Amino acid sequence: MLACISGLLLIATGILGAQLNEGRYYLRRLPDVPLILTDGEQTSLYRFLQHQSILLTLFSARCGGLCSPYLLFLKQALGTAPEGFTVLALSFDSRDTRSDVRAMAHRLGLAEQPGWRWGIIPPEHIPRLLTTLGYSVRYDSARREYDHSIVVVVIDRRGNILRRMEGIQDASLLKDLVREARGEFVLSYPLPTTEVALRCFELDKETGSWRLSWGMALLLIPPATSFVVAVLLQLLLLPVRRAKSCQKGSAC
Amino acid sequence: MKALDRITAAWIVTVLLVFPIAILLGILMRLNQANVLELSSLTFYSFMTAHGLLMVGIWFTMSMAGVSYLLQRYVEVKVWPVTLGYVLTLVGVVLLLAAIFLGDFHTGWYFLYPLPFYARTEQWATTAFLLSLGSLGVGWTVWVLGLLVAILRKYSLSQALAWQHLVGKQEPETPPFILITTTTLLGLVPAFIAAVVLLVLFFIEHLSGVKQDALLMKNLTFYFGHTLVNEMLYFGIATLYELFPSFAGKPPYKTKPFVAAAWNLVLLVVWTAYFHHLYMDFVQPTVVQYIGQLASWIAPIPAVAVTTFSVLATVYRSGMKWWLAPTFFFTGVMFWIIGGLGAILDAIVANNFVLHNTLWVPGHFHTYNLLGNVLFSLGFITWFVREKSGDDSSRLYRPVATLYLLGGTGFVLAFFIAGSASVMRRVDKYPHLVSSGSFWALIGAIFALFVLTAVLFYVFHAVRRCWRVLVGSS
Amino acid sequence: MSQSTVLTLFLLGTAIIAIVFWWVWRSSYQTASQSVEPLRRWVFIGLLVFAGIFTGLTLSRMPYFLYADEMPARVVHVVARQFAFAISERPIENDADYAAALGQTVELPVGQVVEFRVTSFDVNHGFALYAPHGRIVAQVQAMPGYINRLRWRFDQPGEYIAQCLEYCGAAHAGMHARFVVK
Repeated sequence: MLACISGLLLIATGILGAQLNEGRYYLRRLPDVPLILTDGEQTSLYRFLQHQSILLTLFSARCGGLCSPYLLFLKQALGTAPEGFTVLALSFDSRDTRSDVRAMAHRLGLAEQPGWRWGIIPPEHIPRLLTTLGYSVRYDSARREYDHSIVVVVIDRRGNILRRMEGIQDASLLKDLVREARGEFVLSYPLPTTEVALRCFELDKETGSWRLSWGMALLLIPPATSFVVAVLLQLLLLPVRRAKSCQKGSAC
Repeated sequence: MKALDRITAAWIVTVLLVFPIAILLGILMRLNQANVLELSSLTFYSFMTAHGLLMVGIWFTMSMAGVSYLLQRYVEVKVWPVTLGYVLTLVGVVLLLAAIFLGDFHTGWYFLYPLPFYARTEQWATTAFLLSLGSLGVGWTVWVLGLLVAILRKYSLSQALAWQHLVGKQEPETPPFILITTTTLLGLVPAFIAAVVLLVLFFIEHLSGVKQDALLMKNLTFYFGHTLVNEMLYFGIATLYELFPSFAGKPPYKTKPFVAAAWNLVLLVVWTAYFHHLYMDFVQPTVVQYIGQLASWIAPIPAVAVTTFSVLATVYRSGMKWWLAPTFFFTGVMFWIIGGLGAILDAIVANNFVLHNTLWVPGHFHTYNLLGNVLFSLGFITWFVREKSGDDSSRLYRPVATLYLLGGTGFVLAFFIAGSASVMRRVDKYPHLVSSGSFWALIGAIFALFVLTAVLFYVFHAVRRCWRVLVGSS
Repeated sequence: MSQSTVLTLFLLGTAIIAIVFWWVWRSSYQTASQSVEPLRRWVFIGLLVFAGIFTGLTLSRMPYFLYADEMPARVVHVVARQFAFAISERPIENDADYAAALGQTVELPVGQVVEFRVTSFDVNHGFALYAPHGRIVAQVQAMPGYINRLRWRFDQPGEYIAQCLEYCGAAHAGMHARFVVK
């Protein structure tokens, strides 16, 4: 019964359509584009990468759709001071200025956070970066906004793409990106699918330690139930054992 | 005859009649692999599925039957759980054989998810298979609980687990048989519950199409399957502890503190040993893989330091009268340790990297079963036959012991040698890649024929005598 | 440990066990009242030492993080499905990719780290690498719903065979793929 209920709950939760199609982009090297960061620093991608690997995400400060909610989701999932890597949030929108991006960072409460850096790319370099990332945007002149998806990419210190995820992620998928961003070799990872009812385990997104999920709980049902059965039998049969002791003349 | 005598005899007769058929299925498989026969792939894998399920089924139930019979020396054993186990096992086996031979169900004995949804030609075969597992599960769970209740009606849980002996107290005394049987029964309960969970998840997918997590299902499968076969071996050991000293004319074994410690440790460790089946599933958390290797190496220490040493010490300069029963038990212990050596070598992850799913695996588990657990059960059966008929099977001694032990040794060695040459398991024909596979299959089949001959002699002898117990008057 | 070493250890151990049991059996034809119980402690200590040495030597040789610190020279995608492997340096993410990758012969470099990303589109399969000398050198399971990453450096050039080693149905024996290392 518990297994059935667990199954139904997890079917309802599901995993929301992320695409793990990094295969095409694995080890693809990004171009060394110039970066203008919101704190005024002017650098290049490769110089920026010298100090740490990054988790790169792209947005538009003029986006009225997913960008802000998604960045808040990342803030919650990754924290404001992630260990072992830096979150680099870059605008892909050539209209965005440093002030626009800084204002957005302030609104999200991420402007002064040590683990997050914000910036823009000179417009003439944006297409080259997007092509390498396999990320396409389309300008809608009626709404004066870009149609685009969400993307998160792990870049190592040599500028190579290690992981790429497009779409809304479940924390269990994001955890693997976080581990790779920290330089760990991730031995195995689940494929996103909407059909699997239960998984065994998930890694905590910030600490990297294991956390029970419903599937693991199912594995704990057998020993837990057995313990309960043993204790129940012990207690239920106590009167019978006492009666036998009385018959043998022991103190009752 | 008492009811327990009859049901035990019924189990013996049934198991012994099925045993040669299951062996024959195995020999036909090896002959096909040796290119002596040309079976279709479907037929081969149907035989493989039937062979595995029948062998595990009959020898698990026989080990339970032996323990149920001997348990009456200490507690009152109700017959109905044993009988219910018998009936539901028969129902389950009939459904299973129907699924296999009429529905072409060919998943292999541990029905690894999601193969049951692929490896059959008839849709109903999966349903029949799942219902069969349900029948077996209910029957065996009720039986296990029935025995536990019987024990706990007299011994408290702590006494049944000999905790008082752990701290050096002599009274109340817990015989080793009670200790080992209790730890084994307690080890089986979670295994059966895991099977229930597994079955529910299978049914959910079967009925709704919602897919399960393959890793979770594999964990549940081996939690159930490995623990089942591991514990069945321990029932055989319990039987040995109970009967063996008397064969040497020595007093019964006592539960000394190290005996109590050993079996309580086994109770804890056996649940995590199954991890060694998932070493090559890199998705399994690495810490669990470490636990699997550690557990697999810890578990044999009590087996060797306690049981094996005790058996050797019992035999040493004992003036033992060797007849078939003590011979079966003694050689069973030897092969149990040898099979264990093969197992712990494979349980080293670095070795498993190159041995996993080669013939090394059937090498070790056939040693454990054919030459270990089966011998313990045959030891019990031989003793039972003597108890009931006075016949100590002396006429069979030389031919059966020689053919069975020599045949069994050659049969399992062929597996180990081929496995070390990377010949893979569970293939109907060996690819050119592993050219020695056919040769070792032929060697294995020849030696298995010796075993079959010995078994036929034995079955003919024992079944006649147990049949009289089954139909005899009260 | 190589397979030959494992077999040698096994046969040696079996011989020792058999000799001990045979010797004790022979002794049973005599009677004596001496107790061998004091030996038990030494047997236990010996087993602990043996287990400790082997465990210590082997736990550090887990195959999971082989070459984890090195960047692989090539990444090869492997998808197992009844009853063929699709192996390609291009990602295989759907049925069309699988069909396109079937029958491709992949060439891999000798002496460099290669990463295999292995999964299954249906049931559990095994992905075992057989070297030209006919022995398994490495393997990993192909589990549906997961990608398992196996890194390996091929030190010997030649034709390798990837054989399915997890029973997957009636045509399991014929499920293999070839690739060349040069």
